Amino acid sequence: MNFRPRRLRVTRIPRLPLVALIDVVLFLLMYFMLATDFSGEASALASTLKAESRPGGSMSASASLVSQIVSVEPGSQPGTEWVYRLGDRRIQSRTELVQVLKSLPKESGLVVKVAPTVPVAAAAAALQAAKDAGFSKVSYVPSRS
Amino acid sequence: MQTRHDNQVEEPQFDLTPMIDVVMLLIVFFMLTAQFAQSLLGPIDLPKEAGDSAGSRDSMVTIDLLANGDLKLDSEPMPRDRLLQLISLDLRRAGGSADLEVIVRADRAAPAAHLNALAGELATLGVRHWKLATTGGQQ
Repeated sequence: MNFRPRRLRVTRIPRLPLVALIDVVLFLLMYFMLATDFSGEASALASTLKAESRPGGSMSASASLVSQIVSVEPGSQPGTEWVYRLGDRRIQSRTELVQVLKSLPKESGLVVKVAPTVPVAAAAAALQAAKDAGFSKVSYVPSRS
Repeated sequence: MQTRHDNQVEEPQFDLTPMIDVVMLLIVFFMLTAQFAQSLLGPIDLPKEAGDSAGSRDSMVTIDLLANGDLKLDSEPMPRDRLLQLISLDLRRAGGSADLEVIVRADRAAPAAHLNALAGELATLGVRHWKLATTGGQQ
């Protein structure tokens, strides 16, 4: 006869590690709450436009460069905040400006001159158009008139 | 003598809870510091243009140009003279305009007169290259 006591099977109650779960959930919650506040700023400096300043605003460029100056001026028609001028030609839209700029030689670069009364957005649009047209050297001339 | 208690073989347990705590804390810390570093730049309604991807150099100054013409240098409001003085010092420290990256964060609604004035002053200081900060997406 076997008098040895039977080995009792120890039944373990399965435990879910709730502490770790709660930690993870709380930290994720904290992260998303804080990150949402600042997510608008994340792409603020995502892109930049290059420009080159020329002192004084005097147009000392050579005569051959005259046709390579894009002026941004206030629009005369209602609804048009600004227009672009290339030589004698007035250009209403940025798409048209890009098309015109694409036909110009790129070696001598492009000069962008912005009237003081138009918004900065117009200056950025002209610089972007120059970049889209393939100009790598874009000079920004501070205009006082 | 062997007791019943001795027969229970305890499975070795590795307590993961503190490790998860530490790891999560570190992740949250690094994520938040990265976010805060960007949020130090004040909110400005930048021109909505595609631009180029923003590069980062060791020597970089960020000038904020607000709609009313007020200026900030690295998010700190300051008078124009003081700002130009500090940029001049930065230029000297960087060893020239080519080594100093100047980024102008201008409010898109600000009159270009403010930008023109700033560009003229930067040119006078010897800054030949600067970048106009934009935010992705054409208007």
